[in-house]
Amino acid sequence: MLEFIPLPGLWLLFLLLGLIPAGRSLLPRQIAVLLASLGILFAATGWQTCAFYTALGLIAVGAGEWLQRAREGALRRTVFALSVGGMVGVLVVYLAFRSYVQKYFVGLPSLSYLAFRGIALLASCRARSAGGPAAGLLQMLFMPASLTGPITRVENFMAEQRDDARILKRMAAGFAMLIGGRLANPYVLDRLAETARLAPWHYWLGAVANSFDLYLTFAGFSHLILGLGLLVGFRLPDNFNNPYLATSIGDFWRRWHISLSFWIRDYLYIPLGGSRKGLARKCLNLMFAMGICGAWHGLESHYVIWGLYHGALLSIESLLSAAGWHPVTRLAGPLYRPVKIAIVFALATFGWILFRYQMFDVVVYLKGMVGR
Amino acid sequence: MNRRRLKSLGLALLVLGLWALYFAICSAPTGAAFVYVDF
Repeated sequence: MLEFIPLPGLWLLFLLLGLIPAGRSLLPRQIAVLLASLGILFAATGWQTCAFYTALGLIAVGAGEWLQRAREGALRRTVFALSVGGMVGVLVVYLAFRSYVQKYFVGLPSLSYLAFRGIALLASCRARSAGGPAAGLLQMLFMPASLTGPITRVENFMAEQRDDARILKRMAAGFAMLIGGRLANPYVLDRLAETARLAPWHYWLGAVANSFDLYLTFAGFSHLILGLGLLVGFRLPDNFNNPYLATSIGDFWRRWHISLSFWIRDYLYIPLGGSRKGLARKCLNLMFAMGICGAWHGLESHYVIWGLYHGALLSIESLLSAAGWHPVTRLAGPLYRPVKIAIVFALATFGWILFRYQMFDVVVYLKGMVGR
Repeated sequence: MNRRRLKSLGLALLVLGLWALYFAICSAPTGAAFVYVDF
């Protein structure tokens, strides 16, 4: 469904929706954008998927509205736990039976985003900071962001936040990145088991191309979605900030898929205790949170291992920092910054091999890199 | 035309150019990352 995002007709529709006056009340525009989102979903997927999305959105918003109004007590806590549990359940069933589910719900966009946005909505409602059913429904159903993030918060849809000057910048960045991703894509190695043995440099080049393909394509679509949001007056959260210039893995996760990192931090890592319960517990929390982050992409083992790999890197970084040991800064001297950037890029690039390929292919790939 | 308007016009033209280039080279189906990993 991502192929819809660059279509001029979609941008024209959002431009017109953004002209609906929002001076007195944002409600007419919220409703119009909601109807447009459902229309796009219906046109792209058919009634089953549209009905499923709408039903899930209505259930989450209904539960959220009740949580906003209900008095604090055991019943409120139970409804919150059940509704969050329901979202997690939908996500797990979807991930476990993805191919079967997608046979029935034709063109179904990934439910991973919907489930995480639903949980964010319920958390805002529990904190009594959500802003009415229209904003809640947009949080669940705002179409461009349902496809590939960013993982919005209901606060993004509660007030008009015009920033017209940024729309063209988002579009320029988005299209330039998508073009860059397409140029990198042919160098990515696919169907490894069927491919004849190549020279090692093909695998190394492919690994770098894979990193840029993933980044430029994902960030390109994110920029375009942020641009579409701005057209209708909603400032959605930033999702990328030059991740390959990060100087540590922690820094990398503050720059890569930012809305997912912050979701994991706010709704998983901090509730688990974060770094407040000692170093060992912090490392355990990091491993668990990043393992879930991996599983969120899919229950296949390579996604989970990719998440745990990043959890391990973050834990090692925490341990080194706690010990006051900064080997790169000591050894590289004045060049410590570019050396750190190169190390983080290499570690992330290795991670993307785990992310992209099934575990069997990962082994083939790594053997290919060392010429075996 | 002042400098700010000129900058906006330049940016708008750049967007149009990139948009056209996107459709020229990116619209053909390939094994792109997004198809593969199902984001």
